[in-house]
Amino acid sequence: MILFLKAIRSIWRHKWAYVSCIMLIAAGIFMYTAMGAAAGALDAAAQKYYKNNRLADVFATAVNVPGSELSALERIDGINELQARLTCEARVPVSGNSKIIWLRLISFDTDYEGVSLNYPDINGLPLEKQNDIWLNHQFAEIHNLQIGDKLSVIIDGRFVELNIVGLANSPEYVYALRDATEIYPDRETFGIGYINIRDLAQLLNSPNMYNDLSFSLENGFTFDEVKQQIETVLEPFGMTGLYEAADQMSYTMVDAEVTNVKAMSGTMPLLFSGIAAIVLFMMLKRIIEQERTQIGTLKTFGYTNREILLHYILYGLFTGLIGGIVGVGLGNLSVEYIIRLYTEFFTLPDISNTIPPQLALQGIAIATISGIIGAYFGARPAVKLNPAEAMRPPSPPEIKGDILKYLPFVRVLLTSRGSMSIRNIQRTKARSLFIAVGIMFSFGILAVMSPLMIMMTDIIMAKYQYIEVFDAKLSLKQPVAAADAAAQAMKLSGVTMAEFVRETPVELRNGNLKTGTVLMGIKPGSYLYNIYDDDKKIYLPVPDKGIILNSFTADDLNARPGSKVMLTSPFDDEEIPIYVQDIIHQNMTSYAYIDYDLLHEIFNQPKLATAVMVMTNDMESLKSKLDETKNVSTITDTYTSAENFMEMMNSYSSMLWIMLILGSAIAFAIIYNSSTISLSEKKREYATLRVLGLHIKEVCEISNFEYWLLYALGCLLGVPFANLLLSGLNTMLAQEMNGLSIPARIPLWAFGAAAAGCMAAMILSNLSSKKTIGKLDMVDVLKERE
Amino acid sequence: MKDALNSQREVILSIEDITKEYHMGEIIVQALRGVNFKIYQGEFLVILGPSGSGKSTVLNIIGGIDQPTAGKIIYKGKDISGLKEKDLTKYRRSSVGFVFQFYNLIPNLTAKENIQLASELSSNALSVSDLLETIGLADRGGHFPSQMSGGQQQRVAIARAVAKNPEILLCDEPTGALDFSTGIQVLKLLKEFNKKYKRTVAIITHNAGISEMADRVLYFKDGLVDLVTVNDNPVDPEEVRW
Ligand SMILES: Nc1ncnc2c1ncn2[C@@H]1O[C@H](COP(=O)(O)OP(=O)(O)O)[C@@H](O)[C@H]1O
Ligand SMILES: [Mg+2]
Repeated sequence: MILFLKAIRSIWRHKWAYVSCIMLIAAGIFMYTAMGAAAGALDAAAQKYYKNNRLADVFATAVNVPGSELSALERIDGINELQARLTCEARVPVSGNSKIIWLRLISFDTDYEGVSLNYPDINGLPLEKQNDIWLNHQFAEIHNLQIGDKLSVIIDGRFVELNIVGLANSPEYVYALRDATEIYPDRETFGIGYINIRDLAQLLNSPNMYNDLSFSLENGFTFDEVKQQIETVLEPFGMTGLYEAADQMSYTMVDAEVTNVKAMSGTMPLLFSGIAAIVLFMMLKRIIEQERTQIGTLKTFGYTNREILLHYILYGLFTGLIGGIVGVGLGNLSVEYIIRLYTEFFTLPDISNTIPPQLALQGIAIATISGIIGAYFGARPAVKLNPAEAMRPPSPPEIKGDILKYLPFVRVLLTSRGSMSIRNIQRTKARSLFIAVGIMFSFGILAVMSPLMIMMTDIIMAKYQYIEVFDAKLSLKQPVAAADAAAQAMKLSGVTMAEFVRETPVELRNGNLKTGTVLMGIKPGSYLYNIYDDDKKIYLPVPDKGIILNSFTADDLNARPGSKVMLTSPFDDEEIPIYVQDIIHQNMTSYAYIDYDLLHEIFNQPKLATAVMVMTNDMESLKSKLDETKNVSTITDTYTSAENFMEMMNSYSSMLWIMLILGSAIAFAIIYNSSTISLSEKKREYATLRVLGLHIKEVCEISNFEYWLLYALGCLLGVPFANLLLSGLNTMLAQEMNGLSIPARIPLWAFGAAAAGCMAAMILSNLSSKKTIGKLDMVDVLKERE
Repeated sequence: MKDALNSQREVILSIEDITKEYHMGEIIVQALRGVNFKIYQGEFLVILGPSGSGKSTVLNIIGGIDQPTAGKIIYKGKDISGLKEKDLTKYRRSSVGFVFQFYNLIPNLTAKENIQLASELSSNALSVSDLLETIGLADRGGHFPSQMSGGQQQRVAIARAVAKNPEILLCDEPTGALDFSTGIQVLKLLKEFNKKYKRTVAIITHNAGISEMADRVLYFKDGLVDLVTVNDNPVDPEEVRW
């Protein structure tokens, strides 16, 4: 009990050091619980949603499948249930809104009894009357549409008035991306509407025809077992896609998010608790050196090694436990906010926004264990001491091999005070390394995070100013003769320039490495689309050279400039060998490029265009024309895209701030604690220096010089570490945001900012050292023997 | 006779009515209760007295590492008792050399570097290699404190204190941790500094034998100067009886 009192007093004496340990642990556990809970809640809610609302196992899309073919599909071995639907994209004209707003209409079979596949969550009246519609919540909300309102849409160039009778969300659109080129779900420009299948068939004028099929599989069957047979049936009807649930767009995005957040919530606390454990270890080691006589005395009294070890472990247990509890508390406070951020992008019913008790306990356990581990290793030497030895002062620090002997030039430059600093580093190698690594960490985090927003903005600007110079791009439903395409576009009012391209999905193979991409055939001398890389270097596909690959695609294929890769034609499945002309790094586009004529030559195709890029001074009229021109499937205007992007970036900014603060906190905690510890070790030396007549400032210089050297080393190591961090972040972003990446190079100023951030931590800690050195009582320190 | 001797020598330091109290909760410990004495330029002064009589306290105050509760310390005509930290440091830097019982060498620095540490602080510093020669450790300049014996360490500590060429050298039980013969070596060094450079040396000891080599001896008792004696014929360190 008295020992317990001693622990409490000792902790109180070093309270700031413990507080910073606690903060580190709390930060880690905060992330563990808050992010873990968010990922878990997201996952659980999604899985429950998929199950309750019967998300299909397999999805297929085709141009037009007659109703008569459905029985052939149902007969396939392994297929349990088939849902045939019609879908189409309608445009929603909203006066005063310059953006193009899409509504995906999905047919709903009102005759189906019970819960059909992909059953939406419905809130409202049934679809009874002609052209009744259910809208998804998010879309209705942002456009201020209510049940009972009417909604005008344009389908195939015709105005249609729909009656909103309910709200419905679909398990297929938890993460509602319009297509794979979208980077994040924009609830304003993309909505989902359910409409009675008879009405939609009538609106599209395709009775008993389907373009969207979903299947559930019988137990024990896998997608691969039915894939071939479905393909065989659908091939004649223009099959455009066949994939299983795991490859469904929304499903993949949810999954990727859950995986990433889980990974992050798993590694971050390890990092933070690990650092805290090392700090604890150093602190206890120091305390035990100071208390060795006490330990000896306790042992001569008859306290056992175990009791003494437990006593010191108590310090770590205390730190870990409090850190864990504080972390869980912070997590609990913020999990609701994090979930709310998620529900901005992920539409899920009943998502839990609390930390499950089990996770909270795990968090506290991790914290406590890391505290105990740190303390255990720090306290172990105390046990090894035998009482008689403990009563004697420790043998003076042994200097093994003087580094300065090997650095004669450095030595000349140094005063005896400089030598002290250098040898201090040598004397406490492990701690010095730890400090340097800690600074490296902070430096890296700061260097990557501080310029992120600006880097992102830069890429967006680069994309729309340099690469996609056009105002709008019209994608065509059916390829048309190239010469016609541009001429037709020029006739639209306001259009001042038009160019065409041909885009086609292709599969690439190099040895047994395979990947897919979109190949863009582009005319040399194109003005509206320029193939710039990140360094603003321009490339041109040379007719007889081959293709230009994006670095990501090239990595997938392990291809180099000059490599010969196999290109699978989308027209006849034949493999065509082609050379890689160049590999370029482009951040927001993932096209492969080829000369327009060469594309048609190798595929042996007539010269067609699949998209027209235009410059216009009248976007409004262009959009209204779009409703009349049946062959335009989508129109992308660069202004809206750029704006959406910026919006998404802003939603990430709070995350960035948290990372920045944590980055600086690590630096501060490490530097502060280490310098506190080394100060307490060197009290006697510093008191001696003061007696010799050194000013407080001069003593601080000795103590600080050591840290500035380590700071320099940490920053130096931080540069490659930051690059490593950036490439890790890139991989994560590429998964989460559809091929978006950030520049591979960190701007110089960001390194400067990181150095300044770490320097701030250094200066704070220097100030605190100065205070301690200033208060050093020379008489007191020198009175005792060593 | 006594006054004649004193009046012909210049007073370097004058201690006037120094008191020092330590407050420990309710209890007040009076370490010094109104101490008065003078230190003369170039003398070899020994302070004797039982443990706890206030010797260290007074030496620390003289050396500018501690402050009196009341009283004045006049160094060369200037009161240093009220000096600010910065000026007090300047005083220590230019005027005082300290030698402790437990050497307090910087473990990270070699013998030579420990001496340099001090000589770098002074504009009229003594030559480091001469000092190494004087303390008989010329061949050991590159050794770290942990590689030296206690006596050797104390000799380095004295060289370090002397290196700045201070006006006054203060030694708190410099031989307390040493055996007889090493103790004599250390005393010889102190005497040499006193004679060769004509600098003032004050030594605290509880070893009455050492007082035989002093010019003057102050006896401390219960925080007061109990007795002052003058030695007309101070003996050589070698003749000191331990
Ligand atoms: N920091 C302190 N707190 C309380 N009392 C002290 C302190 N330092 C010294 N003393 C007391 O002051 C008196 C004089 O101490 P000191 O000058 O060290 O004696 P000496 O050196 O003659 O043995 C002693 O009674 C001692 O207990
Ligand atoms: Mg004493």
